[in-house]
Amino acid sequence: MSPLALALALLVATPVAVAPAPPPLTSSDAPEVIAIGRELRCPVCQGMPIGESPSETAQAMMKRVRELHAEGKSPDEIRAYFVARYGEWVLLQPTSEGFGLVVWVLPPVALALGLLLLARVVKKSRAAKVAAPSAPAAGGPAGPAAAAEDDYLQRVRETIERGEA
Amino acid sequence: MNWRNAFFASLLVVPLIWLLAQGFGRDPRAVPSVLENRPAPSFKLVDVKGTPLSLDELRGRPIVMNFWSTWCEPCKEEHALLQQAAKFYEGRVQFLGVVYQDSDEAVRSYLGRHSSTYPQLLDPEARVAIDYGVSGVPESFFIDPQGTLRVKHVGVLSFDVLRTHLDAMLKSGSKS
Repeated sequence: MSPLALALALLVATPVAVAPAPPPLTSSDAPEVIAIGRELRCPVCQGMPIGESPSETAQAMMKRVRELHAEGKSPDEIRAYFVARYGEWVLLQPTSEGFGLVVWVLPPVALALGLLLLARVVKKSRAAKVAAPSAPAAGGPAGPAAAAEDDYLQRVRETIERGEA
Repeated sequence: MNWRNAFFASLLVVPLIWLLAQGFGRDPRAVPSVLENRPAPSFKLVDVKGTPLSLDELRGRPIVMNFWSTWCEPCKEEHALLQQAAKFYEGRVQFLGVVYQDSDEAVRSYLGRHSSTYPQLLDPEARVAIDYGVSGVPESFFIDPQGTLRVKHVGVLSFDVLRTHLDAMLKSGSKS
């Protein structure tokens, strides 16, 4: 087989060889089963729900979800079944209790503090802009620019006075 | 930036750094088992020879329950150590293997080449693996003589780890 033919054969064969298993959720699943399949973390994946992972572990867990649902268990009972075995870690959406509360509370608090900080910075910079041009009119000291202008005016006056003399 | 602004900025940054440190500072696989110090989930499985075996039958001495697969290279490294440990603790500790997400043929073929001195149980629907909160292989569970799950060990075992947990359980078992 020529290298080109071999490359073509591999190109055609590869998608078939590495085609992943179908995701465990099917259209025939009950809405509760689909919802739980999206809430439970696949333990052998990286942040993927069991309902979307093609791994065998996720498929086994989905099968268990279906069995528990068929036995008449409520979604809360099914969640509790997995939490009792894997801990709160198995829930992709943390509960609003204990340490999980931090995840819910911290972002809005951080956002509010950030907005407060931004408002203060904007207010300060606006006040500085307004104060800068009004200072010479008031006749008082108004920073380095005003001081430099005073020096210049003083030298002009001195020069005029010397010229007059 | 004045001290006041620095204070407000630190109110934002310090909790974020703390949260990130919590996440980065630990092994994501090392999720502490919620089953530790609770009764070990009971099971009834069949071993590769077709013999049924339940956890209840094994009460009375410490148990090392090892989840493994033939597709898991570290499990193969661990296999030799577990066989040696099973010989060392013969009569005092019950070792068990539970096959995780593997075909019976692959397991029988592997055990045909690398014998096992203790029962190797098949868990075709991963029911027992789910009951024990297994999130990968190898994982091992140490169950005391009263049936309480004492330790979950994630990753390859060393003889020192085995001896530490088993000697502690044997010591507490002999006192009671």
